[in-house]
Amino acid sequence: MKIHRPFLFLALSALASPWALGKVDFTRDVRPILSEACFHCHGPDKKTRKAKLRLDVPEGATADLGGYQAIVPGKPAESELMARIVTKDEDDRMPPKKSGKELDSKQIEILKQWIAEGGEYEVHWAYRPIRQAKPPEVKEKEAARNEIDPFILASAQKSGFSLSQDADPTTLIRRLYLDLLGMPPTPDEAAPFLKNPSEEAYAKLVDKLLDDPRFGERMAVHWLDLVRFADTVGYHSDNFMEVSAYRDYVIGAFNKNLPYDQFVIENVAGDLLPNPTPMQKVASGYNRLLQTTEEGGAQADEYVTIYQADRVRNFGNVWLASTTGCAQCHDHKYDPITTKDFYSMAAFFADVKEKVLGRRNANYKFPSTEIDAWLGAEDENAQSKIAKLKKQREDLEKALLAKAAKEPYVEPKLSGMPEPVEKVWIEDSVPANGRAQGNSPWKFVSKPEPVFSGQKATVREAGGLSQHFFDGANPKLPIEKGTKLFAYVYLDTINPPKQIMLQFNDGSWDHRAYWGESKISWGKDGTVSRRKMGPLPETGKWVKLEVDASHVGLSPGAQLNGWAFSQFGGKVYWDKAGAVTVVDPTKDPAFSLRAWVNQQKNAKDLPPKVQQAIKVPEEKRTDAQSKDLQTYYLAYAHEPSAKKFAQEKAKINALKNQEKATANVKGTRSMLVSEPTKPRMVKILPRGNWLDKTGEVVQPAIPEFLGKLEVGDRRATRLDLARWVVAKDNPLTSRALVNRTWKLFFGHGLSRRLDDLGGQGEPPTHPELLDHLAADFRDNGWDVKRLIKKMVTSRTYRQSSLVSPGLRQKDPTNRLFARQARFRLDAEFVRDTSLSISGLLIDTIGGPSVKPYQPAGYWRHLNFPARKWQASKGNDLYRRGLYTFVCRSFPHPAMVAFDAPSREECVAERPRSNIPQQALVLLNDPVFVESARALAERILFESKGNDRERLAQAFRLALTRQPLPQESEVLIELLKQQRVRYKEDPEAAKKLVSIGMKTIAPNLAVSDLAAWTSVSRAILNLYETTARF
Amino acid sequence: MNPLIQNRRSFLAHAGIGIGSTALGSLLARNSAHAASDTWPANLPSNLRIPPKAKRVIFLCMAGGPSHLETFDYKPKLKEMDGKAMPKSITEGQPIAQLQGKRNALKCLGPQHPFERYGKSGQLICNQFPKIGSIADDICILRSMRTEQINHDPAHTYMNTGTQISGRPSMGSWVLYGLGADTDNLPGFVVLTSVGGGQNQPIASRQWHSGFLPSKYQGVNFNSKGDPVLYLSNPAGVNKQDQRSLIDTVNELNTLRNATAADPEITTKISQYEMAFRMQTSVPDLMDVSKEPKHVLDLYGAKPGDGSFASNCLLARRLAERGVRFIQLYHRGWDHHGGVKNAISGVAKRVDQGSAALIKDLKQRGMLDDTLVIWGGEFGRTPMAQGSGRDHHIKGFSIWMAGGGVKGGMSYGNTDDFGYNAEENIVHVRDLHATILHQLGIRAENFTYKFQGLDFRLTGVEEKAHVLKEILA
Repeated sequence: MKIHRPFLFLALSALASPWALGKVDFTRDVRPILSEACFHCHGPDKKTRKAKLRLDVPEGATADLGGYQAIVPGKPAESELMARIVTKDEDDRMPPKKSGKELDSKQIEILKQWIAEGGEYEVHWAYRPIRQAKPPEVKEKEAARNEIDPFILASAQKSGFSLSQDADPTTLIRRLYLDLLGMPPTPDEAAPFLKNPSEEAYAKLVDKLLDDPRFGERMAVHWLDLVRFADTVGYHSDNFMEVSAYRDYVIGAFNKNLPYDQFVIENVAGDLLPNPTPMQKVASGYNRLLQTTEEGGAQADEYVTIYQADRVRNFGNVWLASTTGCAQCHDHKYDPITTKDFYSMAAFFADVKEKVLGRRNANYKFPSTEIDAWLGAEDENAQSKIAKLKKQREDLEKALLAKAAKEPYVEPKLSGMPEPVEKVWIEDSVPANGRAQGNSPWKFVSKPEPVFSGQKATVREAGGLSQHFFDGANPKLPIEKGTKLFAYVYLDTINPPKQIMLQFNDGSWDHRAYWGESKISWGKDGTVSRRKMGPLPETGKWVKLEVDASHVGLSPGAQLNGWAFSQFGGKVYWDKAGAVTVVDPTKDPAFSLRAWVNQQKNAKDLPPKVQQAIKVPEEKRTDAQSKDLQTYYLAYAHEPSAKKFAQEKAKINALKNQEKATANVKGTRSMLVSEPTKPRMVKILPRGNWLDKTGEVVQPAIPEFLGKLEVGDRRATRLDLARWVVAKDNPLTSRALVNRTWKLFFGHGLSRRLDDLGGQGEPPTHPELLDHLAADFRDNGWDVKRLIKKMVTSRTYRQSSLVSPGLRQKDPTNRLFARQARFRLDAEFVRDTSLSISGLLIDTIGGPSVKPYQPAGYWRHLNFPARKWQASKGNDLYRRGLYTFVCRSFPHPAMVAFDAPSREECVAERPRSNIPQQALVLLNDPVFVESARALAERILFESKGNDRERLAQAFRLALTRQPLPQESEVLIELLKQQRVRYKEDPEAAKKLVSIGMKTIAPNLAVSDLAAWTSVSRAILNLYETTARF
Repeated sequence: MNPLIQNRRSFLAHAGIGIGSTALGSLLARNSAHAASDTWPANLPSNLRIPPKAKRVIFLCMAGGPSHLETFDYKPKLKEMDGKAMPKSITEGQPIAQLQGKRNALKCLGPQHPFERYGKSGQLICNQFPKIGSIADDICILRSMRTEQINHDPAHTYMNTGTQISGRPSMGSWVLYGLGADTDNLPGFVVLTSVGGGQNQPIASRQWHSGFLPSKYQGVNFNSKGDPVLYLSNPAGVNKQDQRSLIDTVNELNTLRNATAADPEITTKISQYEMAFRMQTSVPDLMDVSKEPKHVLDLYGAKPGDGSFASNCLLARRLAERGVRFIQLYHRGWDHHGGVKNAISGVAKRVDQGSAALIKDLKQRGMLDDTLVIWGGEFGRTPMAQGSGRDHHIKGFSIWMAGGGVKGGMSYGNTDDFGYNAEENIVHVRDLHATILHQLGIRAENFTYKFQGLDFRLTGVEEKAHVLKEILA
């Protein structure tokens, strides 16, 4: 046994915490120390436990270790733990030096006092049942506005403080607008309250804002961080996925005040509800928001593992504020979550139907009226537009059929040998469903550049090897006996390539033909993977290249899904490409009505009349039926007639596309939703290793220490899981939600680690208040607006955010909440604020994500395919920040500068940095310059007074207040100087005011507008403009 | 991005307990540009501190996965086995990428280029890289690298952050967080990119992201075309003097506001506007290499403004001179699934000279001693043929390091006869990370940051990371 050394007598160092230390509280004072310093080796994880000592449970701490025990309740002097933490012997001292952890004298004193007071353990605070605590009795009762205040007052008073005085009405109304709507009030919105800032007026204002549609947008920003909502798949090619409807669901859910328990169920298991509504299905898209991959060579089994872990991590973070990630490889070191728990949780999500690798195509289409109704934004306009387009198209279709009805038709006969016929596959676009890719995107050009046929050709200029190609086309191009593949090529005379190559994909790319030098190295010479066809064709003219399919190893029956146009150097145009196949017209649906009818027997996409006629055997058809069939065939499917009707068909197609486009905006929405399928088997993966298949098979189950689902013999489902999350006895759910919501309105959570209420989180500063609010929230219909109203009407909320010297010293990080917090706005709200002040903001709610200006070339590192950001047009340039398209690999740089996350993992709390990029964005990003100009125009139009009066108007718009005299001086100085400057250089003035797509209002002197634009830029760059006080 | 003018309040709020809170104040302090190397890490908390050898890192990321078998790992046995079946005993049960479908018909592909001995040390290097050969005595080749991710995107993430899971800080961010930078005109962590020589695999900005560390530690991607830094240029019609007046006005008004608010955020904001203004001059100045003497341009083979890897190498030296802490150059051109022979020759033409020139230039300026240069990709390539190319491979590959206290003219570790498995002195990615931190004077195992209740490290929270003592001078 270790020899005990006498204890050092430790003086209590000055407390950094504002809390006066009375009796030691296990949860608040002791457990964090043990967790941080001891549990890594003496905690729940069996595998890393040292010396068989377990300190996270009392049985372990008091176990007999051979004549001594770690903790002897009431007797620090006999407790080995104390001896080991104070010993001077480095070899014996705990925690060991190499752990990098050290206990300071205060922590040692706390442990000593705790043992002396009996060394009692408590269940970790967040796992205890939520107790409905009564507000404490306090002095200055009158200071309390609602039941939140006594809790805050009590702790403040204990530390010798009270609450700070109320903020002035201007600060307060700005705070409330920024907190609840994400943008400041307009002067008109602010005026009534500023005139009469009474209690009733404030209460009414709160109700009004909670009822404002902008409230849902504001809340969604926070929510979308949690569930890692983005418009792209994340990994590697990072292609688009259609989930924007989920964003709209969230906005609507907050605006309608959907009870939170219902919200949870719809997110986790909306698809499993009986007869789910379209919006419930959309909500279930939560299960599809994770990052996925389509990288070639990715291994499905590995990604099954990655996805299931991602889902479990996010589930724990979002709904329970629990970290589970470490249990993927080993039992949690700080919380009682085992590896088995982790994989049992994963099993809940094993029923989500998905292709592991590949494109995330939307799998659910629904009328956009569903979303409009959900958002309270029905739009009848679009429906009537679609109806009009449809009418036009149907008229054209009728005319086409009337024209076709006049054409004669005779069934073809075979006279002699079958004829070779050209089947065009690539003309003016990639074939249907083909995925266009290349070293750079496909570039289409039209005349006067060389074009062989149709409207367009493709062109590519390169220094070395370069190509464009597609794969995945469907329908595929069938290879038959004698098929010749062809393509038209035009080599630039001045800059010809050294080599050109065609590559064909029938599942593999190993079918190549080339002309010219041998610079491109793919394939093996003299085999089908690399056939030399001859010298380069003549430059400066269109030449048809032909390749016998058999020559490159494509046998009859093969089907092409991809085609590559490759070159080494030079400039090359490509046009019409496809196959020439010998056709027996009597058997080919493109030439024979009979053959076509045969082929279309089960078709469901033909007009009903035609479908019916097809089902009738030829000899039994009425004359009318035969005529209908023939007419339809000639109009749409008969190759030799195609030219005659080309114009009509092009018009019809254009209308169809227009309809589709309108429908996409308003008619229908599509979405990647979750759909149940037969659950995959889920095994525990030893050490998280997906190659190790030896682990135990597990069934869906919640973490064992939190209980068991009562489902009898059947397999538990996501719906059971969701219901458990919102069960009354779940200790985590409402605490997590209340804590995060508190943070939105007070700057910090009651427990500071928003995403971890577990052992390594921080115990709440006001545990009774947290429990009080959590119980109240849970027991009153999970009513989010009610909760928020309670928070923002409290006196605690309405305090000033100015810090008195005493408070600053005693409570620098505001753990007492004896003042309000002040901070810079979130990225989206920085944008919204600027747009709203300038009047540019378009307040359309919901819809597909939009693309505001973004610096050119920012996406240049993306590939498969390479792509460019195409900025939206018109109104979509001025939408709120939450509608900006989120590309996970390259999120919008202006958002990134202000700490918007990339939405790859759950983010419960964004960092708030203060970096030079923020200055560069506000100074130079065109949208902020354009906002400044729009604000300048607004000032010049709305205020007819002198410069000072105009300046005052600008301040009211931007800051809800009048400028101070000194502030006016500074800005008037700038205005004067800039007026001179831009009068002298009208060209520069014109350039400045022309930034952005919004046209300049007429009748304004450009140099004056430019000078006011400078003043407006200054105002929009102020810290006060982008901050909440 | 720049840690210099720190916002102490939010820093403290986020730094948590990762580094003893008493040390935090000093961690923020900026070091003067030319402080002696034995003093600068003194700002680190004592439990992190070890004597530093390197002041900065230049990481030449050969993106796409260079074939070690046509660069630094000579395998005569594999040559003999060319076209023959790869022994199943080696490949069975191992992860495999695009060759998944051909698991049962894997064939060896011999080295496609000869190797030669270079330098006094006689290091074996593929003859397509004669310029790198000419610095053979300055570099230490590591032939026994291992990583855990077999696809490009996660493998880059693994190489940069030590895990496949997104949202973790990249190594540049970690280093900047620990050490700050020696510049107040430029970001402390800069990324440059170039392409050519093979398929351009995408690179996501997460590769230089600060993850859960404060955003000021993220890498800044410099562009060779357009604004070198996003939003750097003044708006049209606004000249330098206009911008200056504007910033003066903003700062004056912010100062006025702060008279009542007394908010440290505002103080920081004011200095950030100054920093932004300085960057508007210093970055274009940095990027303009046209005033470099001709012999220097020739050494690199750089043409001003061409955006090539060679030009980026020259910029890397200029960044290093200006006090940037971590510089990462991506060359996206190494994914050689087909035609590895010609592809290697092609990409060698693009990276060989620049890589070697950087080492020589740093050396002649006396900067190689305290600059750690690393050259390597996210993984290697299979000894097995994929047609005429090679597939992704993670069980053994090569990188090299130079300067910053690493021995030159040596190689470390070995793979088996096929170049498949790293066998001797296996170097895991976390060991590389630990070694980088070690050379910078940071004890990797204690260098943590608290996130979601856990002490995260660059070198991971699980396995032990080993500093490669044998390669250190």
